[in-house]
Amino acid sequence: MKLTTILLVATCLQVNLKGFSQDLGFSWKNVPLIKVLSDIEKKSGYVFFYDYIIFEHDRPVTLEIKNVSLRGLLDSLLKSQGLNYKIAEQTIFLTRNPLWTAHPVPSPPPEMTFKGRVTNEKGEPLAGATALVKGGIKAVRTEADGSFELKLAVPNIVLEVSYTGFITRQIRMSGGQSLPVILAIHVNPLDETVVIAYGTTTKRLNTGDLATVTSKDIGQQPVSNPLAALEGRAPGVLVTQANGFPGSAFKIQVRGQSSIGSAPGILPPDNPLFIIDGVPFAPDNNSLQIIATSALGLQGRSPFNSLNPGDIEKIEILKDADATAIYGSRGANGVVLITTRTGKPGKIKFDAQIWSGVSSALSNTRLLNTKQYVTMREEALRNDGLLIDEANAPELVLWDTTRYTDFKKLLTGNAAHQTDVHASASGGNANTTFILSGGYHYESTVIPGDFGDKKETVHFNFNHYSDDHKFKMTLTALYSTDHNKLVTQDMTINTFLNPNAPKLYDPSGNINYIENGLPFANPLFQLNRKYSATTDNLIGNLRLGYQVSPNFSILSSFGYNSLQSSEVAIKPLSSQIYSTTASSEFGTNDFKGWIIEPQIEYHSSPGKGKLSLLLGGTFQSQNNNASDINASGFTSDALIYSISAATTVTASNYNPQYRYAAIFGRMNYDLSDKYIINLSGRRDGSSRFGPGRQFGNFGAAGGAWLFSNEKPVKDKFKFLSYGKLRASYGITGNDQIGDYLFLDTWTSTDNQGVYQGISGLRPTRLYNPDFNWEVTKKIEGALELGLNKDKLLFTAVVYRHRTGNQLIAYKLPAQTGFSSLATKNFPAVVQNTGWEISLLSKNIVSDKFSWTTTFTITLPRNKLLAFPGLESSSYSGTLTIGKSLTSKRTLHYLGVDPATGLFRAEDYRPSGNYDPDYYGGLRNSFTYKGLELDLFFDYRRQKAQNPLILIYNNNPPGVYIGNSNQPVSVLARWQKPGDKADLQQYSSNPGSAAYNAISNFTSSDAIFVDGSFIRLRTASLSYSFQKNTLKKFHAERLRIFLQGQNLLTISPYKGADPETQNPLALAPLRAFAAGIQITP
Amino acid sequence: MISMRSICIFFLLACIIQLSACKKFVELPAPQEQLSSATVFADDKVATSAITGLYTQIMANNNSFLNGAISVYAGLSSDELTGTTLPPFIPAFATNSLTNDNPVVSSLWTNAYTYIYQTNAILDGLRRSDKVSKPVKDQLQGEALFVRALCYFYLVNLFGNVPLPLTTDYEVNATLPRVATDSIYNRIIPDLVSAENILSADYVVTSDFPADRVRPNKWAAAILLSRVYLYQRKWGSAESEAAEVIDAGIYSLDTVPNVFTKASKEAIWQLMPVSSTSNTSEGNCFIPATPATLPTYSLTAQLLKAFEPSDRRRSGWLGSWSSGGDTNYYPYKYKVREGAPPYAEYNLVFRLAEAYLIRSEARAWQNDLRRAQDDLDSIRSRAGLGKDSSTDQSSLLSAIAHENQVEFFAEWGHRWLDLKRTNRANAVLGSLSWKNWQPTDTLYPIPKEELSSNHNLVQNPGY
Repeated sequence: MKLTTILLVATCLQVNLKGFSQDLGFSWKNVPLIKVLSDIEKKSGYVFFYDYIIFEHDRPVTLEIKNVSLRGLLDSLLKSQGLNYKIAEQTIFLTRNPLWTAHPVPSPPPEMTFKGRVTNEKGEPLAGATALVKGGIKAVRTEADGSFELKLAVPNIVLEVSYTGFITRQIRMSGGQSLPVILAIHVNPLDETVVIAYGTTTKRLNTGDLATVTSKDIGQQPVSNPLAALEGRAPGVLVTQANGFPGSAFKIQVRGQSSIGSAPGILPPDNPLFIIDGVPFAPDNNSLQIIATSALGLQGRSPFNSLNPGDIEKIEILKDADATAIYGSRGANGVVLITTRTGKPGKIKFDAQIWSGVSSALSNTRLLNTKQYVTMREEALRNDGLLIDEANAPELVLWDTTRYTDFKKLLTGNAAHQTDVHASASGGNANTTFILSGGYHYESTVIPGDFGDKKETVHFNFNHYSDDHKFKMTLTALYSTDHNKLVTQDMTINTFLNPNAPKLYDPSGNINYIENGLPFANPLFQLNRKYSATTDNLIGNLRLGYQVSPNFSILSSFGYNSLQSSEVAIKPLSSQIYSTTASSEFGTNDFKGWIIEPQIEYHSSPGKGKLSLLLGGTFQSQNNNASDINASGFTSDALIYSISAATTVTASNYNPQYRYAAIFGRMNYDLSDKYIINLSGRRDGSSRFGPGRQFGNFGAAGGAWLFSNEKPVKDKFKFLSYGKLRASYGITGNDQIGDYLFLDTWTSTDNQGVYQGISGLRPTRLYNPDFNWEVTKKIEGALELGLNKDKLLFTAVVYRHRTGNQLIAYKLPAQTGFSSLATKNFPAVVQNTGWEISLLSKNIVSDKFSWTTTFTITLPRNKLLAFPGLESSSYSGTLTIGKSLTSKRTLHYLGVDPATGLFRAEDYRPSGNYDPDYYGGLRNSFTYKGLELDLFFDYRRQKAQNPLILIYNNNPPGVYIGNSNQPVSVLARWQKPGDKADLQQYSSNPGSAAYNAISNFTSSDAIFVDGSFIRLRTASLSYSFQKNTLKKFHAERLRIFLQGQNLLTISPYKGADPETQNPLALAPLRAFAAGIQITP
Repeated sequence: MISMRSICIFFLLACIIQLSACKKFVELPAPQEQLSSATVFADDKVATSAITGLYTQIMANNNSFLNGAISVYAGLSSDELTGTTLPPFIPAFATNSLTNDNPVVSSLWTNAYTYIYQTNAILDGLRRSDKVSKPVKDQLQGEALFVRALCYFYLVNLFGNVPLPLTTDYEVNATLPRVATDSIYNRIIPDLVSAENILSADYVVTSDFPADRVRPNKWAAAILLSRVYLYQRKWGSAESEAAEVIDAGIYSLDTVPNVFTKASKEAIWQLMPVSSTSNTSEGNCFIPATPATLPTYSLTAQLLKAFEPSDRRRSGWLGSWSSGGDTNYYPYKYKVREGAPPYAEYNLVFRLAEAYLIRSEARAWQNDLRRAQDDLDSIRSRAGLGKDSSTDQSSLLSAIAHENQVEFFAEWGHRWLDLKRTNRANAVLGSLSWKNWQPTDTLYPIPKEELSSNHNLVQNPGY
């Protein structure tokens, strides 16, 4: 408008001296008046003088006229425009005719159409974005497909397009134009998109609670299991590694233990629900291992090792009722959403990253040397009043007592190597984007020999919109194959072999097993017992959506997951000392699952609010097919992999199925980005429950108040850039109890023998149809603040989860025919409460240098609130009302009696638990130009099991059996009357008083020691080359990096790693890696 | 795009239709490697597996209820066996000093009820099923009723009053209190009567085992029934049931060395071993591993004294072990300690000799002394002994009791049960110095964990 005025004024000041002429001729068709006037000026030589307001009601001119005088022209032209004119010399003065009114004017002023479509960088439409015409004339919201249309009677406008979570853009548009508007995601973490169940929102507008770990956090860690990358990163999420072997299991719990369990003293894992690109991960976090033993230990092999962390865009952990309720039954223990990378529009971009590293076992278990060992044994025998002779101490008499082998170094002291390659190609246009990536990861282990884990992965994502953007398709596929080669036993236990054990090889180079007639368990035999596993995993998801109308869309996702694991463990002749035959064991564990989730979405923007409704359904089916075959009696190693060559074969299989169906709905209403409510409800059915009990109803409500968007707050508290209070309450269910527990089933007895040549059957389960959903009621309140333009972000959450209607396996009297355990709902209640606080501070932000600190702390409390009939139940010895589920009843330890040198203890009592008091992480990130340094510490304050408990239970100090060496901590023993010692006297004799006193230690509260730690979990240093250098390399991006994992641990816990807490298992590894990333 | 739209709408409708079928969707059949009750009783063959599975279970572990345990532990409790070098909870039987946490007692109880559950499940499944043919249904029902009666018979004789679950409903069964012995007999008797009616007189055999007597027939039910009548002091019924067995025509008293062989002519019901390493449990636990090994269980001096000179059973059914002038005797009815299939010996549960001795005792009580003596002498003559010389009822009854002692020693607890049913336990066992006898010792304790998992159970006196 301004521009027009200036032009007009300039025109008015023109002086045109051209003479008057009678033969003027014009032809206009829908030409603006101003243009008409200018045409007249050019031909006539006259100049118009006028005020711009005369154009207020102008109309385009359509006129064809020839041989006309100036006056004639002006008469026919201006009358209909309601204008008068006066000619004075060469100037024509125009004024508005005061009698003229616009009313009779038949045609309205001409309107221009401004069209566009707002999308994010991936080409996904942004519905409800604001398109505001600069100057405040008009604003519109975009439709569900991102499109907008403005009609304005101006030729050009400047449009300001904004959308929460994205950087606001201004664009210049001319009338009639249709422009795509691509918005870039805002760097403010509050405005990052977060995935919620079946949708997205931003952290700012979210009413629920979730924690996010991004690809950047994951990429800084040289790990092969994505769960490893979560350790310490998310408040409320406790991740613990089982051991340091590649492929080992990770325990993950969101907000504590909520279920009581399957047997007294055995707490269920309480795994969260895992969803990878919309597909529930079929094996969950359960071990894939079917074979009886492997070095991976009791927790087995992690199914997550088949994922490539490099393909992951982010991992989100949903915690409260509002966030998890939409996942219903499966969300009681939290939901972990894993989202893989997608392509961005643009020319095809290649990206490659390669890194390589070395790792070694973290351990502070030092073992006795030969001299210390011999002293221990001699002292033990002396205490027992036994002679050092061939019967009592054969290894001291028959073997060299000066020889020393450092078995720890020999068996677990190797350096493990890691190599990782990841390459991707991505690109696309506004309609279609894609990414295709491939990865290779190899890591060896610290035990000698050709052992390790090799993984190859492929990831593909394809996104397509139809031209009218009404139809959308997304296809994601992940495929991996993982080969794990280990031994059948964790060699850590073999490091406890007597340090004076005989030479491992005899003079002729064979594996030695005997010296002077005394045999020993040469660990090299153990190394010949090999375990290998192959895991093939395919996850595919197809998502189709169609925009039926601007408000309505329908979509459906189809997911498929197939994970196939096959294992073999061999005990060849070369690993047998006494047996003359070899044996092998074969396991398969296949999971197949599919899921279909149709949905209808409705969006509208009534008044100042945004309303979205979702209605959907889930059909999920999962199959597991497991078999275990033991083959023995091989007389040669050559045929050990051939089951048919075995003389004895025993087999078992297991083939459970799981089905799940649900209908769900969600309503979200956002009023002016100030008040948001989110309601969800669902009806769930699970095949794990008996007839008539399958279905349960669940729901949740969440609300948020962004008080910082209130005018008084905005005005008065300028430093407060963001403030939100939110709360949620809801009910979620749990069916994680195992399949078919309600069904009365019969199983073959043929593994016990066959009667009369006829296969037999026996009842294996009672008909028990009456149990159903375990129910968790979650309540949460949170305050989120952003200060100083969100440079400091603070979140404090307080939550309380109460899990009732507990599904508990309880002992039946034998008269029912089943003294085993039957599952039943108990009105017992477990409460998890806690605080979760996180702080994100941008300490320094400048162009060259930035420093960001993130700090999180979680203070969880677990408590058994109620358990009616606990005293008379089989759980009476393991649970105490008012205490944590992990709390123990033990003897009270009274120390070592200075007179007798024996452990003393008194009465059983509740004595403590293994729950962390608090845990969290501290991260500092520094960037200077292209240099980035990231240091992440995680910490835990907790009681841990005294590592000596396992030592005393396994093999008390002083006793000679196979692996009878001891950690140096056993040196703190009682020696003579009057000694005030930490540990009792050594004894070699299982019948001695000292031996009997061991339980005073191992069954007492001495099991608890301080297991707190602070660990430098990740250190990452990287340098991205600057533009000048990049030109030389013809690269778009070039980055080199150094990474370290588990670099430093500060802990009072001695004798084992404070995380795994097991001196007999391989500790986690300390890893260093260096790599390069290039985008040509 | 119209086609796309219609496809999508069609799809959505399909999904909505699916949603209404939600309930069906989450109802799953049993996993493939397991069978639901309905499938088990859907045809003759699988239903038969339910009963052979029961026998497999009974025979799967040596020294368990119905497979050797009663011979050993009831033998220790009475005056026929002593144990050497055993964990302390086993000699506790011999010294009658059991405690309520004795693991053997607990396993007897648990095994019995596991088998009872299976018989209940079979009876329940057959009742519901209309797919099993009548002859098979009758046979299987008869076998299940018979095995259930046998389990209850030993339960009441070892523990006294016991819970009497007759269904598969664990909610009902879990809280059942103990029921008077008489009520249990009142259940056992009609069950055995109907078992006897519906079981075939011929043995159910397979082509692999054409001559074996390893599935109960009519006469197995009859012999147990006659024993139950005897215990109930229903002399007439006991006599007639025993007579039916004797007159069946398919059994005859075999020679002493042949009685415990697989092909024994007097076997009425044998349990076939299923182990890959041993034959009978008794053979496996009574016979020492090597000639030099001290027998785990030795016969008492009381039993040895009971044998008359020239009793063929003494030489035929006793084994001996000597070391430095010390001689121990052990039960040697079964001759095979270890061995893989094919088996030479089966676990002999009921044999014809018992029918003779039952009929003899029943007749004696009915003052039919002559015919009672005939029956007794049948057994004595097989043992190479002369005719009984009793002249009055009470001396004849003593003679019959004595015959039972030497005929059935270390076999299915006959001695222990006889002493108790004839009220001689206090007199006989109370007089032995190495017994720590108290009158309450006639019953074993109810296992502790049962009392804690079912508060309706009450412990036996003395524990």
